[in-house]
Amino acid sequence: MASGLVDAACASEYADSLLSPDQQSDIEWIAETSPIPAHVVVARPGLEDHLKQPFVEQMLSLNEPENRHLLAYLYGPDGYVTTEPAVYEGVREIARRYGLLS
Amino acid sequence: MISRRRILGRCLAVIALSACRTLQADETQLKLAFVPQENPDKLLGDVTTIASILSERLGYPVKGIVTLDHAAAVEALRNGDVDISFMGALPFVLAEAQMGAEPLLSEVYRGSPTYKGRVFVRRDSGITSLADLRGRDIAFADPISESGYLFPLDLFVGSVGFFWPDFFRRWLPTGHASDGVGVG
Repeated sequence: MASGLVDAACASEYADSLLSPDQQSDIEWIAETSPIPAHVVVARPGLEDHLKQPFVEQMLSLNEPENRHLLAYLYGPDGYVTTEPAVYEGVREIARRYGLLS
Repeated sequence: MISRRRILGRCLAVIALSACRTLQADETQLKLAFVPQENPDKLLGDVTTIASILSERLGYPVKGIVTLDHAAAVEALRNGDVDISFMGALPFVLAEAQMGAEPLLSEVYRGSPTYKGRVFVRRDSGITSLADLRGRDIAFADPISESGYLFPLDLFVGSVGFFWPDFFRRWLPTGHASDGVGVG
């Protein structure tokens, strides 16, 4: 889109950070979606607590200043928080609306 | 008085129990799946590094794999080929519906566990609203992308009441949610 191949592009609000400074100055956004839950770390059903809990603790420890450099190896978020199923109700709703969930 | 045979028996039982524990400890491992994003080659190296660090800290082997796509990550969770997967919110709700997958952690960016999808245009295009995009060419990401497809789709349907193929002239799939902004 920045190169003129298409008139518009739908992407994450952070997508333009992948462009060069010149390209960034050439584009703007005209509409924004409702908030989308960020990527999730998901456990298979039945994963035993003795495996799950220490893993979660280690992941949360990446938020500590001395560990933050390690986040670069995990897609580069600023950190992690615990989450729960209720957070994703909006995603379920929209997935149902377009036939992705029954 | 406890006989030597009984003491020997107890010793053997303790040894056997220890062996079982050792065996159990040896079998403990965690398998992680990662979905490719904009730079798969870099991710492969990153996965090896983070798996090694987690393994050292958890005290048992942690193995990381990079799946072909989100569908493969969901399938790996379902099969028990992996224990934990990093994925988008949409693949998660599909995995939850299919098998009861459990959300553990959310990424945080700029202080928030949520982000937004946007419709980008060139500043010199004269396009100022979604309605202006009627009959134009637009790039969307893979349909499994929340910010590059599903949520913008809902935005268009809610705002202008139309969606491709009726509304746009051409619809260009771009793959990853970030690719369309720079495509071409």
